[in-house]
Order: sequence, then structure tokens, then C-alpha cells
Amino acid sequence: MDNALSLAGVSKRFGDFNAVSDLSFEVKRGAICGFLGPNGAGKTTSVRMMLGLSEATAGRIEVLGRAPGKALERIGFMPEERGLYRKMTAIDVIVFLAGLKGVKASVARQRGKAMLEAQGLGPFMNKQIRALSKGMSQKVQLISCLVHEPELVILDEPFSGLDPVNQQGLEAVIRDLAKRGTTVLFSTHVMQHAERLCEQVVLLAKGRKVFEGTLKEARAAAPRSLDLEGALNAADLLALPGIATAADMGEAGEGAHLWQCHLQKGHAAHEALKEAFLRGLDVRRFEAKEPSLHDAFIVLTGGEHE
Amino acid sequence: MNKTFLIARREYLAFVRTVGFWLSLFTLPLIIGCSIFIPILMRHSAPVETVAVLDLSGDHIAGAVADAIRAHAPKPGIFDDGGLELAPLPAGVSVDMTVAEAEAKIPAIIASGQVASIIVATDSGDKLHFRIWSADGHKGRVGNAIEWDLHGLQYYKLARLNGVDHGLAHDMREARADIVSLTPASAAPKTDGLAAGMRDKAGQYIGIAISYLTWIAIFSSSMILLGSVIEEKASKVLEVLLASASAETLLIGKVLGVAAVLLTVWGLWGLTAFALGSYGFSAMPPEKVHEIMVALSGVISVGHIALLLAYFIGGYLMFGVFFAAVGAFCETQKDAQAIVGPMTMIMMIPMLTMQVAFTSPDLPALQYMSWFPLFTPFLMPLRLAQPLPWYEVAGTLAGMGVVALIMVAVGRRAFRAGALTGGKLTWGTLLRVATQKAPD
Repeated sequence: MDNALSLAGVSKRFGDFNAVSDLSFEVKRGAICGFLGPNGAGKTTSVRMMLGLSEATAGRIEVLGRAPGKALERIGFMPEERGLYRKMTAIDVIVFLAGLKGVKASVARQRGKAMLEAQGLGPFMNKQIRALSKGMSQKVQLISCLVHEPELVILDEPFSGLDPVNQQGLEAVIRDLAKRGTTVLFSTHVMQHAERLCEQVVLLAKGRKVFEGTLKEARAAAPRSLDLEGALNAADLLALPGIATAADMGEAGEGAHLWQCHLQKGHAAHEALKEAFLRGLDVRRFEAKEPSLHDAFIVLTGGEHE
Repeated sequence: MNKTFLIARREYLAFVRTVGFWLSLFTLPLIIGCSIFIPILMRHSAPVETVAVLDLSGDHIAGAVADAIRAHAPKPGIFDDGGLELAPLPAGVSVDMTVAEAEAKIPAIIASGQVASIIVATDSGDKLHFRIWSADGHKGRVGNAIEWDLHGLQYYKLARLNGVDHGLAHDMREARADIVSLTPASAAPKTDGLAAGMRDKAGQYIGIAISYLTWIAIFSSSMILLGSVIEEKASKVLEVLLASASAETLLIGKVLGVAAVLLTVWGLWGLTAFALGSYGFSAMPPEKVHEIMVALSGVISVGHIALLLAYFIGGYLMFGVFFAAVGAFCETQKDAQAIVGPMTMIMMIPMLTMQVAFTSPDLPALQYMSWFPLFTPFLMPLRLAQPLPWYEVAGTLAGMGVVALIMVAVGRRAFRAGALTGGKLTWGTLLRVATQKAPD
């Protein structure tokens, strides 16, 4: 079996509200999949259905070849709202949660200590959670979710609340997991993380999947853009081949303006540039831009991104 | 099973490792002990009341009043108050004074501290009058102590005036009919030599005590479960736990963990009671110890204990699981009040019947109430003190068992739903969750 995760036609309704509608996608074993979408898109609801915490109204879900909730020992999960027992020590929390995943206490203690050391939390392992900083607690939470060496790791908004240094550290952990063959699915509404980590992305908006594919495919869904600076006007720019839109971004000095143009699908920036020079337009500077995942996200979600 | 044990162990350790647990452990026995011993010590600390008698009756009753005072002399027992002590008539008053003259002097005499009380006895012909003067704050003490002795003097006076022989009058005053209350059980031949009253009442006393203990145990453990789940909900641990263990496992683990806390409390209370009991028995006459032991062994059998446990477990499951499920919806105790308040009122109802139940444990109303499953665990231990038909025991157990199973099924669903949702908790929310289909 190649898929760690498989959803087919999954829906979830709360009364009259469709939280998730007809969601289908698969995640191959060992892949890092970004589960993207704006707030309220249905990511957390979908994750809960994958874990068996919430039952799908319709559709079929398979997690590691089994029904949701039937392979919990092989899954690591970090919820969006972090939670640990505040009066337990860091190492005791890790050992307790590992125990619930079927790991012997002695093994969990050994692994937990090593992981805490690796994260720079060695001196804090016997401190109560309430004595740790928020960043430290989040690291303990992450270790708790990985200490039983799961085959599939599901992280719900793992980067929220982390400072840039810790975000970078978490990215390294995710890459390391994938290197060792662990499948990682993480939900986020911050595209930069997905851009740096994922081979596969699934985009959700208003409970529906609006895209599934590689990063390259996602970017292709957004138009390329061409920035032009000079004494130009919209009519001249829109007359160039392949230019779909032209927006005046403001003055750029010495009578020049910065124009941001989006290209039509299938057209390259050099075609428009060549024609502009042939027509003698006052182009003083230009920059052809590949679309980012963020651009793709905006287009695919209909501009819902915060 | 291993997960259940882990959750139960964590729950248990989370409580018994706190200083508050050990402090609260001895709070109840301490309160009970204080409520018994403090009034006794206070009574015991009452000073001896010195009483003088001023006999202005002309009927020479000072001797009889003095006898009554002597009969209430201080005793060394711990359950006795200070008692009375006969004092000589203080200077300043004498038997040749009128009542008005004497009473004009008495306030100053009492204020001087020569004597705490003075009884002024007069006679109006067919009636004796006793005016008892006491220091401020002592009013009523002497009167309460010798009231019936003084009434007796009036009784004998009336007898004498009507020509009744004093001996006959005494016999009439002391005469009592022989009244014996019997039941088939108490009338049956006994070989234990136990006093009939103790044999009949021991079961009733123990039944009441066990009913109270059952109520306290179920109520306090339900509150512990509620608080524990609220804490987990507030600290967002519940969702993490549900991703590792089923709602049933969590619920059962928590219920077992709190039950273990209860067992610890009971064990320590039992040890304390055993130690105190052993100390108390060592100071008692052997025949009294034997009487108590026979009474206890006659009332508490293995079967009885098994039934008490069954009723406790049923009650614990009904209320404990319910409160745990409520806790899953709440992040503060205040959030839970809308549900917990009315449920606590329901739990209180059987306790309100205890006073009546103590004197009449076989009232039909009590019988009907004990069939209501939410009251069963509290009222049946009381009723078990008397012989009950088997169908009553089986029927109440079955009714309670069915409700407990429904509570567990609904509680499981509500627990999972509550753990994953926020918002205000209402009875409507609970009912909605209860009627929804549960995920596998």
C-alpha cells in the first residue's frame, strides 16, 4: 500500500452548515503534504475526521490502510490548540503520552530524554510544564507527538505561536522526519512554510478542495507577472501581447510609474517586453516574476487569504 | 486495558501527590470529631454552680431542696457538665426575713461572688414557689438541673394535703407501665446476650451512616471528576488524549483513578477508625466491647457488603460519568453551574428524607423513592438494614443498572462532543448530544 492517507468524497455537516464538502485526496507514504486553506476552511474538521475524533457525514477515509481511529498508535498528532498537563514535568508528560501510544515507560523515558536534549531542553526535563515558556512547551508537545516514532504525523497549524527561530527548527524536524520515511501532513494558512517543505499541497476553501498537486502545479495555476517602470500608461501596456492586467503601483521618480502586469496563461514575459521595446515605450526597468504559492493561493481560494 | 490503567494511574497520582489532598483527607474526620468533642469539652468546662437555699416556706423543705442539689453534684465523667454544689446560706439573708427583704439583699450578695445562685422557697398554702436567683449569664442552669425534683416537692405536698400516705405517693410518682416493642426478628431467641434495643437499632444506625457515607463519597468523587475534566479541557489536553485513546477508555480510566483515590481515603479513614476504635475498646469493659462486636457482626454480612458496594458502584457510575461528561464542555466551574446545580439538588433530595427515615425506615414514601434510580444508591443502604423481599433488591439494582448504562453510553458521547467543542453548555446541548449517533 503506497498511501498513508486516503480520503474519498468526504463531507462533514453540522446542522445546515457544510464544514467539509466532497473532499478527496491521497498522501503517499514518506511525503510531506501541506494541507492549506484560510481560517475556517475546514482543515481542523478534516484532521479530526482523519483521526476518528469526529465522524464523516459522508465519504470514506483510510489512514495507514485502516479506518480512522483504528491506527492511533501509529499516528502522531499535534492539535492546533496545544495542551499539556501543567503540573506534570516535561519528561513525565512525554512518557505518559507515549504510554498511551503503546511505548514502554523505560523506552519512552530514554527517547524523551534524548529528544529533549536535542531540542536544548535537557536542563528543563524535570521542570513542570507551567514553569516552561510557551516555545518550550510547544517543543515538549512536538516531542510528545513524535516519541513513539509514528508512521504518520499530523500537525495542525504547527507554526502558529512560534518565533522565527523556532519555526526554522520545526521545519528542520519535519524534513528530518520525511528523510526517515515518516509521512507528514501539516495544516497551515502561512504559505511560506508549505513552499519550503512540501512536495504536495492540498488547498481547501469554504470546505471544498480547490487544488491538489505539486508546488509547481500550484504555482502554474497563478498568472506570472511582469513589473515595468517608466513613463507608461495602461492602454499602451494592455496593447502588448500576453498582458492581461496592468495596475499602477505608484510613482517611481522622474515622471516614471511602477506598473504591475499579470500575464495571460501560456504567454511569456519576453514576448511583451520585446514588443514594448519595438514600439519604443519608455521602459526604464523591468522584472519578470514567477508566481509564489501565496499568489496561487490567492487565485485558487478566490482571494480569501488573510 | 493498559491505556485505561495509565489514565487511571495518572489521575490517581495527580490527586494523591498534592498537599491539598492530604490536608483535605483528614478534614471530614476532623470536622466530625470536632462537632462531637467540642460541645462535650465546652460542657465539661462549665464551672460548678454554688447554690444556697433560703427556705421562707415555713414548711421545712430546705432539706429536700438541698438533697436535690446534692444529687447534681459534679461528676468526673467527660460527658457531664460542671454540676451543682450546696453552699451555706450567705450572710445578709436569713429565714426570718420576708421575701421582699431577702430579695432586696440578694442581688448584692450574688454580685459579691459569695454564691452563684440562691433559691428562695415560699409556700402560698397549696402551692410551693421557688424563685431562683442567679448571676447574670447563669439564668436557668439551676432550674434546668433540679426542675423535676422541685415539681416532686409540690407533688408530695399535694398528696400530704389530701391525706395520701407519703410512701404511696412516692410509689405513684415512680410508677411506670412495662412497655416492650417487639418485631418477629427481635423476639426470636438470641444467644448473643445483646440488649434488645441495641440489636434492633444497630442496623438502622449503620444503615443511616452508610447512606450518608455513600452520598458523601459519590458527591465528592463526582465533583473530583468534574474538576479534573474541566482542568483538562481548559488546558487543551483532552483533544491530545482523544487522539491516543477512545472516549470510553478516557472515561473509564478517569472513573477508576478517582475510585482509587476514594479507596485511599477510605483505607486511611478505616485505619484511623481502627486505631481509635482499638484505643476506645481498650478503655471499655470487655462485655461492652463484646456487645458492640456482636451487634456489628449481626448487621454486616458479606452479602450485605456486596449489596452496598453494588449500590455504590451504580451511583458512582450514574453521577460520576454524568459530571465528567459535563466537565468536557466547560473550561471553568462556573460554566458547569447550569447543569451541576440542578443535579446537585436532585442528589440532595434523598438526604432530606434521612431524618424521617431514621425513625421510620419502612415508610411507603421512602420505599417508592428508593425505586427511583437516581435515589436508589442513597436510600437502599438505609432500607437494607431491615429484611427486604428479594424482588425489591433485584428491582432497584436492575433499575439503577439500566440508568447507569444509559449514563455511560450518553456520557461517552457527550464527553467526546464536549471535548471537541466550545460554547455555552445547556440541558439542550446535552440532550442533543445524547440523541445523536456516536462515531465508532
